[in-house]
Amino acid sequence: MPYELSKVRVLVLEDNGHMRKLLRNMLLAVGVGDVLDLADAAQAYIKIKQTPVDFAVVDWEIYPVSGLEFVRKIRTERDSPNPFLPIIMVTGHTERERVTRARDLGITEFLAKPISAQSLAQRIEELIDRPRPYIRTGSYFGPCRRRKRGGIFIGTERRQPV
Amino acid sequence: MKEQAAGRKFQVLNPPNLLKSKVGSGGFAMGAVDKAAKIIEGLRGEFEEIAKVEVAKLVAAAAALMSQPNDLAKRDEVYKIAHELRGQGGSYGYPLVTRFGDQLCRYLDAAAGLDAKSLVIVKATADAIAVVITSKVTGDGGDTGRALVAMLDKVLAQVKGE
Repeated sequence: MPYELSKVRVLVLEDNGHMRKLLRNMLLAVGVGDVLDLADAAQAYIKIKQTPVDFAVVDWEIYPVSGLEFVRKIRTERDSPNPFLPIIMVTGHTERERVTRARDLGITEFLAKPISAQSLAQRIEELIDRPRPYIRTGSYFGPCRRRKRGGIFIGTERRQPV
Repeated sequence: MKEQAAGRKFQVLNPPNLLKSKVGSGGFAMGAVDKAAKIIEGLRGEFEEIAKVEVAKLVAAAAALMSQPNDLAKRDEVYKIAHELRGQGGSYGYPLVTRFGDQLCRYLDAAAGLDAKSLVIVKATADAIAVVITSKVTGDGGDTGRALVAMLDKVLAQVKGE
């Protein structure tokens, strides 16, 4: 049986009207049942407390509150509607330091623009079929950042012994 | 669900995969991703109309920056328009818009200050994006595309060589 996406509600947070329409219509086309599309992060934060969503597609460059700040609030604020909300961050920024910054705020998946139907579908499959554990440290809360390395961590060890 | 890794100051949490329990695990329905691809195709005309307006703004903003190279608001205006165009062009069959927009954004990211020479690059790149949109130079653009790429490479080499 294929995914029963008709039961799923998704938040699209994007302040560019054309991109918002594109993302909304693509999600509906792949079978998503309901899309909550908003341009304002502060409004979205309040709205999804009243109307819970199953995952979010968030653009980095939105104003006045950025997509990154939205992710930070979702992951760390006491009044967060869902700290474990799967979040796909959409952005035209693909520079390594920017990607790292987004990852360190707790995004679940990164979707680089220009987007395609295949790239969006792949990220949704990742959320459904390959969820990562969440990690809480003194300075981070969010999905484990090590998955892309095949489970073998080869960077600087930041998890400190007690 | 929750485990405290022995001897480490971090927690690993494995929240239930609510998304998967809702949608199952059979992948996207047959044809669903193709339907999403058709959404992009259907919005191409709308993108082209928006892009015409945006490139006119980009060329005007680049010209305004030429007259006031240290005006950060004008520099941001150029960056913002180029960034939006690079993010969308490739989705709609205009990879050269993404390529040139990316070049412009990276150049502005790297340039500490703008002088007369560097502004030549900004203006030439904005003009090249305008040609791609107004002349509907899709794909690699064939001879026109190669000529635009060569022109920008030449401008860059001249400016850097001086």
